[in-house]
Amino acid sequence: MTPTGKLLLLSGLARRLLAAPSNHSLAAAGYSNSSSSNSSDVWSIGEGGVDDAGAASVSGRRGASSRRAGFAGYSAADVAAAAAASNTAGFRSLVVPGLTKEAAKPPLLRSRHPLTPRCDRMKPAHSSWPSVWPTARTFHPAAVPLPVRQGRPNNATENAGISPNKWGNTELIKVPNFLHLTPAHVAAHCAAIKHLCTPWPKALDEPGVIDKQLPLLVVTTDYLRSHHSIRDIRARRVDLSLCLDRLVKLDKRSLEKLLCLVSFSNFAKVDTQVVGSSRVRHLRMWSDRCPWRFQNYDYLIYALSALYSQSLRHESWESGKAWIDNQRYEFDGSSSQKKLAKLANEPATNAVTHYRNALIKLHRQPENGGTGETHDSLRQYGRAVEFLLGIGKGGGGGGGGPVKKLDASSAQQTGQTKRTTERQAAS
Amino acid sequence: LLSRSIANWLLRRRQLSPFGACVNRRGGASAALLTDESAPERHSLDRHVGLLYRPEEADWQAVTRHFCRPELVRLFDTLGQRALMVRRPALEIGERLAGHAGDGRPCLRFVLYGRRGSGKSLQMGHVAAACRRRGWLLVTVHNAHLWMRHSRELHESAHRPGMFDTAGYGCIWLRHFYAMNQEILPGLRVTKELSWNAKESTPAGSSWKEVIDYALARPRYSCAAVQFLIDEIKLGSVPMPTLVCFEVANCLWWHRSGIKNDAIRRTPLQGEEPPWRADITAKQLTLLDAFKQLLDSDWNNGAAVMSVSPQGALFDRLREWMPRKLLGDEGFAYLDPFVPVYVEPYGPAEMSNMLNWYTESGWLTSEAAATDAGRAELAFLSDGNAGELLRIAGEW
Repeated sequence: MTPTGKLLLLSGLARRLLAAPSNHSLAAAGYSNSSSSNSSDVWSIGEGGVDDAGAASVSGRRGASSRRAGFAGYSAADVAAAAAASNTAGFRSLVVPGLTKEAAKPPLLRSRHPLTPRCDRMKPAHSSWPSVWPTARTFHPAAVPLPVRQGRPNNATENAGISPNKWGNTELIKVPNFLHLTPAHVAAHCAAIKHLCTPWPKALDEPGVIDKQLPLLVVTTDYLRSHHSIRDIRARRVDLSLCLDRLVKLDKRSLEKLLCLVSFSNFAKVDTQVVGSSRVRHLRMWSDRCPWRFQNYDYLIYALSALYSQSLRHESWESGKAWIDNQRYEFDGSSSQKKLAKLANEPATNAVTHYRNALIKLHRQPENGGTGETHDSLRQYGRAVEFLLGIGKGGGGGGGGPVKKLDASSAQQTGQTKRTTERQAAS
Repeated sequence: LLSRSIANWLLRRRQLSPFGACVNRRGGASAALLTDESAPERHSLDRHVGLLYRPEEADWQAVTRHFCRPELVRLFDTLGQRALMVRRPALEIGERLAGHAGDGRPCLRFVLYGRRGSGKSLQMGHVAAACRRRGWLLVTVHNAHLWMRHSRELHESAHRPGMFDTAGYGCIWLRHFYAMNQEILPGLRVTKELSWNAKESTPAGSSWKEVIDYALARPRYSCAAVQFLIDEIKLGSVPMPTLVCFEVANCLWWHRSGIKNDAIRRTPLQGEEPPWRADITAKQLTLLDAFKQLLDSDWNNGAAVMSVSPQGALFDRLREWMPRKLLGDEGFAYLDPFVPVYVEPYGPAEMSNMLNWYTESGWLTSEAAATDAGRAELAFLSDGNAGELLRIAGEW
């Protein structure tokens, strides 16, 4: 008996085992032949070598005569192969379907918890986000190492009252993300194209230089929004701004014509800023009439060119311009000037000057050099009228009727001096 | 406690507040300062500014009553006494008129402007009463803006083709004019023959009273009568100077009105709802146009005092109260050259005096109104506006 056989005997496994010698010599000797010749016969559990005789019966029944029919469901070849595979000691091993532990096969279904997701395996020190997320792509919860949540539960029982996490969150997938445009990305992009750029001219940093060199200011706006569409209708608007002093060849008449043309348009205006004693005029235009931004820009450039060229042109019919067409109040040609002729007495020249100055100050807006209608300008106008008509407190004569001329002139002189000093102080 | 804190805060700000003087040094209200001078023409800038005066019965009934708001008239009836404040704008205008108007001199024009309730109409009333006592003829128009909101007996004009007559308002005005100038009118004679229609006419030399009686009997011709009388004034046939008082004068140049002309259909303005009928503006109303002629400067021996108010800016609800904005380019050019007169809010002395009088006369009944804090609060709430003070004091 082989040592294995002794062990089997001792362990009591001989009952169930049909110890077939595993060496091939036995098989080659015809054992399998004999078993194959009995392939039609089925070995039964109760028969064969499994009985109380144990090993003795095994050893005793080594002869062909003690051989019984083959195993149920297994051909002798399978058995032999399995035995050959498992039994290194030369014994046949009993394979009972359903009882014998089979060799580990690969599982048919995936398990519920696969490998650790990438986001949990990523280490900041070792990974570069631009290489993880190089381009714009739909949100992926396993790739984004952020514990983001999206959504609001309707009540305390839904999702335990907390916002759903990123796993399987369709809302996070639907919205646009900018994970492809982080500062790291931008830095990488800039680094990639830096060799194509030239440095910023230092001279442009000085104040006023950029307005001189680049007089045209174009303003466009981009809009971000969290919506299923990233389009925004407001992004088509283009604003253009230009200092009128930069337009050469614009003389007084052309400038007036330009201001007149601008006053008719609903997409352009002229802003006047009073800086000390000088006026700075800016032409501001805007366009959102075209669907695309570059179209609006082209339109504005065209409109600016047309405005400029037309204001330089002077047509023959422009000579028919009336007083009412003036851009700002002019005393000459006004009805007030005409009324001076209707006064009973001819007013003094300085009275007329005061009257004219007061009217100009009252009618012209601050950007045109006047003050507009204020208490001060009204009071000045009132004083000028009183002086003109001669009804002031101190003055006589002027526009009054049958008043003694001698007294009037002396009173008027004192009145004049008083008023001139007043007006000088006021202006 | 709250009034104490308000009082403290206001006392601290006394130096900065224009109403600081309302807080009386003695504490509480004191006697109102009245002047015995009941004749408006004798009020002077030196002595009477800021004082209250009691108008005489005749003046009140004939002139001043028409320039007051109904609330003020009711107040005087309730209290059984009347007191009006003498203020600077009226005295300045009065001074100019006394010195430079009348006696054949050209028409002077004054435009009173100020916020609503600041007292423009009462200043005009003071000037009108003073002129009436001097013997001037008064031509006063108080309701022009109401004439433009509602039409009474509107019909096409016979004496001015293409324009419209408002017969009802014409009659009312003639009656009012007669009541105001009862002493003067019998002496006035018409210098031209007035032909009402092809058949009827009033001969030259008839008195003004006859003309007015005729027009009151035949309301159809009331606006024509007004036009004839104004023509007489402009011709210079009136021996005494004429004062024209026109409240809310800016309605004469306003482009809208409340009266629609069904005969004219026009294209609708943007966003306008039907019916698209034309407004009958002041230019098309004979009555208003007649008074507008009096505001021109081409006649002698008279003066015109006007006020401009946002009440005349119909349907725009303007918050403007400056004359040029309310008159517009056309109105300003028509009235130019005129003297704008600002009716400013009450100063400290005026406010104090007014509160004293309200307390004395029994209009302010609450105890808080007699305290410093209460008076300061009244001054603050009304912001110096006379009309607002009248309204708010009614609640204290």
